[in-house]
This record gives sequence, C-alpha cells and structure tokens, in this order.
Amino acid sequence: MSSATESTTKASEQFLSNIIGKSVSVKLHSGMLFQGTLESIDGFMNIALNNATEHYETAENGLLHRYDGDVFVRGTQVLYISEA
Amino acid sequence: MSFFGFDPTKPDSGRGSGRRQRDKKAEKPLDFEETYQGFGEHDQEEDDYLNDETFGNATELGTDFDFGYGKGSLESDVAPKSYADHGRSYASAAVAGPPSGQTGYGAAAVQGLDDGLDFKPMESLWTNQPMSMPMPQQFQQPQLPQHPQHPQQVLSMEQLERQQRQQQQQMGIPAQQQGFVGMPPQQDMKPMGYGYSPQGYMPQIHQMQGGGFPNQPQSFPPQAVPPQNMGTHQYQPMPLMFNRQMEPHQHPQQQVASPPSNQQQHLPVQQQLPQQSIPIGLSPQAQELGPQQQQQQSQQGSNFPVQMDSTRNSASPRSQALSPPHTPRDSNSRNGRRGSMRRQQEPLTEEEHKRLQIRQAKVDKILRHSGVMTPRDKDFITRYQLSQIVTDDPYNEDFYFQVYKIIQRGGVVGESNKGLIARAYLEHSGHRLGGRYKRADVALQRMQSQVEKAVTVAKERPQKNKENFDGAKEGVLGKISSTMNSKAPRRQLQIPTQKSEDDESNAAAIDEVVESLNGVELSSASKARRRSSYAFRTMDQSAVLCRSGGRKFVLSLIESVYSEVLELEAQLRSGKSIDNKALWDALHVADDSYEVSPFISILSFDKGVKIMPRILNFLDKAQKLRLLTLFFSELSHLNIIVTSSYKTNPHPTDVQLKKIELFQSVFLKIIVSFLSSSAEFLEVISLLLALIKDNNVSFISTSKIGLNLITVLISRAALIKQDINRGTVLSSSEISTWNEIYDKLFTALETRLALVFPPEEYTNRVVAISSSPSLLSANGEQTAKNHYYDHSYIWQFFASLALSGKLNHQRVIIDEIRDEIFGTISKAEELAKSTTVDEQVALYQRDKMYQDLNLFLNVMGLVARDGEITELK
Amino acid sequence: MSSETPLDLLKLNLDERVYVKLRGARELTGTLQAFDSHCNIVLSDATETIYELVDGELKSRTKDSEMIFVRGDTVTLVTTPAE
Repeated sequence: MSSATESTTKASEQFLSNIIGKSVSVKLHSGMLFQGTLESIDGFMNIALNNATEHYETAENGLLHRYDGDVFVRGTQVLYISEA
Repeated sequence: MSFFGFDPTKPDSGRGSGRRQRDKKAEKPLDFEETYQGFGEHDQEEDDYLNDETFGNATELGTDFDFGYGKGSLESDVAPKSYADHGRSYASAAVAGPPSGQTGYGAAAVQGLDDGLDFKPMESLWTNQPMSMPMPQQFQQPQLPQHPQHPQQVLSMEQLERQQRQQQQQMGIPAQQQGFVGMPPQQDMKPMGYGYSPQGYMPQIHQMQGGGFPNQPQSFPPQAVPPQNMGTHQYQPMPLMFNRQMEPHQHPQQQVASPPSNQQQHLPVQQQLPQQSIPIGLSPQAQELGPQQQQQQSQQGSNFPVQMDSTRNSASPRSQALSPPHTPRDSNSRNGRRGSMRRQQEPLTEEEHKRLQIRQAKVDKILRHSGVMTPRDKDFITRYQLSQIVTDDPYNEDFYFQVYKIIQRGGVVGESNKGLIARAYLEHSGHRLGGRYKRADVALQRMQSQVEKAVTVAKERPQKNKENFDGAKEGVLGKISSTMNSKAPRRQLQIPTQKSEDDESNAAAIDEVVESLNGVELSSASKARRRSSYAFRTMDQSAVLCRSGGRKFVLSLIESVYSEVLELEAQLRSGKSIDNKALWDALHVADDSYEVSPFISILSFDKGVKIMPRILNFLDKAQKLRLLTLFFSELSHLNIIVTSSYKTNPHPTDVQLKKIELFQSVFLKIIVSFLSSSAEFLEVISLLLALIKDNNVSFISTSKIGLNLITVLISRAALIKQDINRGTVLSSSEISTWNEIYDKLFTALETRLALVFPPEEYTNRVVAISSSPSLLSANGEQTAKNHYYDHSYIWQFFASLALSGKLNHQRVIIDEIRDEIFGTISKAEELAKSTTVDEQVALYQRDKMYQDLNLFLNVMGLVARDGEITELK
Repeated sequence: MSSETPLDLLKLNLDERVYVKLRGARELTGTLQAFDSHCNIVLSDATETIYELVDGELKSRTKDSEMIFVRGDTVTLVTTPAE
C-alpha cells in the first residue's frame, strides 16, 4: 500500500470516527435515506443510528418512518454516509 | 535473487564459487581460466567421457537425439509437446506426489544443505514462468574447463537408452509398469510427470532389491533406499526438463555464458564433489551422473552400469567411493531418469543441449535427496519442529537439544556418541525397530496432537495480527485479500476508537460529579439521557423502553452479567474458588448513582429475569438480602409491576402476559425459596418494610406480581411467627416491630383493598388472550383453567393479610371486599346453574372459586358453601 | 460501552423483540434469537409483513413463523419494533 493510499485511508477512518455522535445522513443503495444521530459505525460500514427518520432519496420527499430506538443499518446496503 | 533462503551475498568460499564467478562475469566476458578455480584438475576428469558430446565434438548429435525416451513403452508415441506440459512444474508434481511429502522434503534438504553453487531457482521448473534468472552461469564455470579432457568416452544418450532398455528387459520388468511408475500415461497427468519419490518407496522394488544394501550406513533405514530397478524409469522427468529448455523464453545469458557446454556439464561437478566429502551437500550431478558414468566407463559402455549395480546388490564400489552415503540411491534415481528419457524429435542446438543439461542437473540435484529420508524420518523432524513450537518442556522435548547434550557430554563426536545419538533418535522417533518404548503409534498420536496444537496456535495468531496489524493497514482503497474469509465479511475500514474511550471517561466523570452532588439536578445532556431511562415510575412503559440510552446501558449490563455468570459457572465446573465480586459489581446493586437502580432495570428484560436464578447461585446470603432489599424498595420502578397492573396496563398483550408469567415463575420463586430457606424473621419484615416505606403500596397491590410479592412476605412472616417448632421464640421487640410494620402496610392499603380486584373488563381480556389458540395448543389442561380469571392469588393475599391482622383488621378487610366475596359466591352459583358451559368445567370452576374464597374466609373461621357463608366448624 | 460497534448494539437486542427490514419492502418482527456478522438472523415468534400492490392499492398481509432464519444479505435494517 502506498503512503498516499494509507493517508487517504487514515483520512476516511478519521472522518468516520469524528462524526460519531453527530447528526448524519445515510443513503442506501435502494435509495432510502436515513437521518439520525450516529451511535456507532464499524469497518464493515454497519451503522447504528439513534432517533432515525426514514425518507426516500431526500428529506424533502417526506417522512416515511420514525424510529424511536436504535436503528441498525447493514453495511453492505450503505451507499454513503455524510454529516447532515 | 536468493532462493530457498540461500543468501547469495554471503561470501562463503566453499559455496560461493558460482556467485563469485557470476560477479566477475558481469564485468567482462567470461574468462574461464580465471574462474576455473581448479575444477577439472582431478584425476577423475578422465571420466569425462561425454565431453565431446558436451562440447560439440561428438559427431552423433543429430536430430534424432534421444534422451532416453525410447523405451518402446507407453510414452513412445506421445508427442514431445505433451512432455513439455507435464514437465513444467516440479512443484505441482511435488504437491501431487506422495502424501508424506517426500519430494518436498528432498527439495528442502537440498535447499538447506547444499552449497549455493547451482541453487539459483530454475523457475521454469517450479513455475510456469519463463526462466529469467542467470543461474546457468553457476554451472558453466566449473564445467567448461573440462571439455577438452575426455572426448573419447562419450556415450550418447541413445546408447545409454539402449543399454537401459536391455537391462530392463533382462530384469524382467515390464515396460508397462515402468511407464506407470515413472511416466504419466496420459498427457494431463501432470503430477505423475516427476514421480520420483513415490517410486523410491515402491515396495515391490524394494523387495526386488532384497538385502541389496546390507552394508549401508545405519543412518539410512532400509525403506529409504530407492530401488535400483526403478532406475530406468526414474529418469522420466528429465525429458520434460529438456523440453522446457528448448522453449524460446530462456534467458539469453545462458547462451552467452556457456556455449560449448553440452550434456556433460555435470561431470566436473560430480568429480569434484566427492572429494569435498560433503555428504548431504553433494551436488546432484555428482550423485546422479558421477557413479553412473564411472560405471559406464568401467564397463566400456557395453552394458548399462546401473542395472549391473542393482543386480550386484548395491552400487558399484566405485560409485560408493565417490559418494559413499548416498551412492545406491543416487545412482538408482539417476539411472531411472536417464532410462526414460524421451526421444527428441527436433535437432538440438548446442545451446539447447546446454540448457537441457543445466536443467537436468537441477532436477537431479533437487531429486537427489528425495530418498534420503523415510517418511518416518520426516514425521520425526516435523514432529520435533512442531514440538518446539508448542512444548511445555522445551529441553526434554527438543531432540536437537538432546543430541547437543550428548555431544557436549562426549566432547567429540566419537563412535560412542553416535550410538547415543542414534538411541536418542530411535527413542524419540519411536522407530519400529529400535524404539525402546516401541511407541511408534504413540509418536503418531503425539504428532497429531501437536499438529492440532500448532494449528490452534496458528489460528490464534492471525486473529491477533488481524486486530493489531493487518486491520490497521486495511483501508477502502487497499484491501488485504488474505484477511477475507468466509467467516466474516470483508472489513473495509478500521475506525479509531480513541474517541469513544474519551466518551467513557467523560461519562465516568459525570457519574462522579453526580455522586458528589448527591441528588442535585444535573443539566448535562448525557447524564440526563442515562438517568431518564430509568424513570420507570412513569406509567408510560413504552416511553420508558424507548429511552434508548438507558435501554442500551441496561442491555449491556445484562450482557456483562451473563458473561460473568458464565465465567463463574466455568470456574465452578473446573473446581476453582469462586470470586463473585465482578458479578456483584456488574449487577449494580450497590450503585446508587442512578435514580433507579440498574439492577431493577435489568429485571425489566426477560433475559435479565431468566439469568437471576443462576446469579443467585453465586451470591452469599448478605448479598441476596441486599439485592432483595433493593428490589422491594424500588418495586414501583419495576417494569413488570407496571405491566401487570390493570391500572397502568389495562389492555395487556399476549407478550406481556407471557412476561408476567415468566417473572412469576422465575423471580418470585427465587424470593419464596430464599424467604423459606434462610431468611430470619427480622430479615423478612425488613424486606416488607423496604417495600412499604419506599413504594406506593396501593398501586403495587393492583398488579398481580406486586400483590404476590406482598403476599409472600406477610405469609412468610406469619408462618415464622406461628411456627412453634422453631428453636427460637420471637422476642417481644421482634413482635412489636412486626406489628408496627403490619399496621403501616394495612394503613397504606386501607380503603383501597377492593381495588386489588381487577375490573371485569381486564380479567375478561386476560382470559381471552390466555385462551387464544397460541396458548391453547400448549397445554390442554391449562386451557380449561384459562377460561376464567384465576383470582386465587388475590384470596391468598387477603388470607395472609387477615392471618397476621388482628380482629379489627379482619373486620376492615371484610367490610371493604364484602362485595367481592358475595360477588364470587354468586358467580359460582351461577356457574353451577348455567347450562351453556360444559358441566364438568362448570363444576370444577365453581369448586375452585369456593376453594379460593374459603382460603380467605377460613382464616376468620368462616366457610362459603352452596351460596352461603357459615361458620367453620 | 461507547466503543461498541453496531453489531454490539445489535447484540443487546438478543432475546428481545426486533423489527427487521429486508430488501424488497419486506418486514419481519420477532424475538431475536441469534445473528452473525453477515446479519444472518434467527427470529422466533416472527411475523412477516408482505406488501402487495393490488389494483393500485397497497395491501399488506402477514405470515407467522414460530422460528425463522433470515439470510443476511437481504437485511437492510434492524431496530426495536414500534410499540
């Protein structure tokens, strides 16, 4: 692994660890969008959200669901995660 | 450029000639005089009878050059091309070879022990890639000087073949068999292509040899000796090699380096090496060709020497003289290979010949030691290498150390030491002939167990590495494929966890502050989150459960409690002494930093309830008492109370009813057994006091669980008080304390006693759910009971309450629940008259109702029967 | 505790009721008996909700299973069920 790759990796890992506890948007391959507080995330991109809301593609499309408990989102389904 | 761990930079004069020569050569064109280094100065150079052939002086090197293939056996009609394929990978042959891995061992031995002379890898041998390494140079140097010396002794491969064929026929070995052993009958049987090592151990051959090697050194167990008869076949691999060499991808350096060298390349080496007297390190060529050629020489080339050897029971004296330890084997294997050389259809250039020679030399070298060790020897070595990994007793388990010790003791390696070493070997190896303990089987078992151990160790190691090492290197852009396995999905990122550790210490700090402030309200968000989750006193249980922070905390507590319990149970099984401190800490019974004890919250979950009996197994009485005191004093926060109260949960679900049932059967049982087995009177009433003092008793009494808990306590107290068989009579202070507490309890319940009875709407619902199909199927008898609401727990409560109360208490009770009493009686009578219900069920139900009611009435000397209440007689 | 991974959080729900969302708008509710890192999941007393579009109208029906094994690759989401 080149040092450039390594630093890139570090940066992405750093990002993921820094946004823990923040409000995030998680988009799945299916187009579903989840917004909530990032409880935790692992190297498989499995994600735990708290107080999550579910939307289709964007929050503007309306609220589909609100989850009171922690939501576990399977990593293989995750398209991206961003700070919201 | 190193191969097999050979360090080419090491300036060892003994082994480094090849390298040094190469270096020189890099600077300028080869100067053979300079790099000669004395090769070819030996007397035996006379034996270099193939020199002419090697260097192009032989006239017979035509297109029909036959590398020993023409046995007339199976292979004769196989196109040369196919051999190229077969011969490509020696490694594959080794893999497909005998399970004992003899080939592998042979190669390894060569690698480890041989001088670096020609041990540059012949890549085309080991892989499918074109040769790109300049190793041929290593051979060229020694060989070149010799070429002028023995032109007259050339024996063409054709001739050799012919001889071998004759020999074979004489020996009566069917060609078929040979072909099978040494050669692949079909093209695609790659693994067979080399087949050396298996042949070496073929039993039939061994038998043919009979006692052919009685005079062999003891270090070579009989089975290690390759059969001489096999010799002709064993040369099969060579043709393959030759084929390879003819392929165009050869390194140009080879051509440049040794244009004149031909088939005779190996000769110089062979001659030289015996004199070096390096038994294991002998170059393959020496072993392969040396004896044979010498034999040929001595026999004037008319007969094939090897065959002669074999028939004579051993290698010829001459070959033995050259390389005593391995002579028999070497000559055998060499002969075999040579004998099966295949016919070359195309003309060979000098260059090609040279390459063929080099390749053959390589192969010979690789193969030379393939028969040196028996499978047992290899097992032995493997075992001892493994044992050093896993042994608990490194000194006694270490064969090498044992040998070292013997040598140290004896000073010099003399004959006596050899005996000791041999014995050590035999004892350790469990040799079937010499093992003192005749423990070959035991040895095998030990080997297996050690392999298992080693595998276990190896398994654990990568896991650690994965965490600490590989994992850190993995990233989105660079995955380490080796860490992928079927057991776990591919991890793409390693998320640093320092941040969360900060959180943890932060949380701990908050807890500290909370403790020091002792009840002062904190506005800290995280603290609020953690605390609020325990606010089970709010009757909105769904809100309580959905407070995820607290819920998560409690759930994680349960996880740690489970692991502690499992740990303790494991300790118990293994007979170790039990230390329950960790478990006790995990229960958080003594933790008063939360509004509601985490322990109470643990009981809000089914799995928390289920583990309780196993927890109590590990607690001493004081701990149990403390735990129960906490339990009773925070009863109002108990989720199950909320769930089982008709006031807070008027519409219980199936799941909730199951939870109630579970709690009743698990935790109530614990309390009952604790109270009845070990609790003193004062302890019982102290628990009751805890319940009364800190809770809304009236509310608790509206829940089935709560009412049962109260019943358990007061009935136990009453029993102890009444039990005249007890050794100790209750002191007056105890009795007065009890009366005081009872009064408090009664006061708390007074005017609300009727509320103990759930409304009919509630009972009907419970009945409806309980008798739903899902429960019906469980137990037929249960079904009958579940057709009506079981009030027995309520009457048990009143019976206990009345039992401990004075007359005025009883009067109050009857006053308050008079309606319920008569309601029950009338309901029972209705049931008896009812025709809609099955008569049997109705009668049973009626009797049950009277029975429950009378439990209470009997306390006051009354009995209800047939719709009337009379005095008990 | 806060160093836990999402799968650790999932572990906390063992023996608890969970709501599992699958690909293709399928839903399961049941008691989480077991799961692994692939999100293979075993549920007891599970109820599957199947949504169908009948004549342009979204209808749902349920199917109960005493014990059900869910292959992980279709799982998209796991959470506690709404009360």
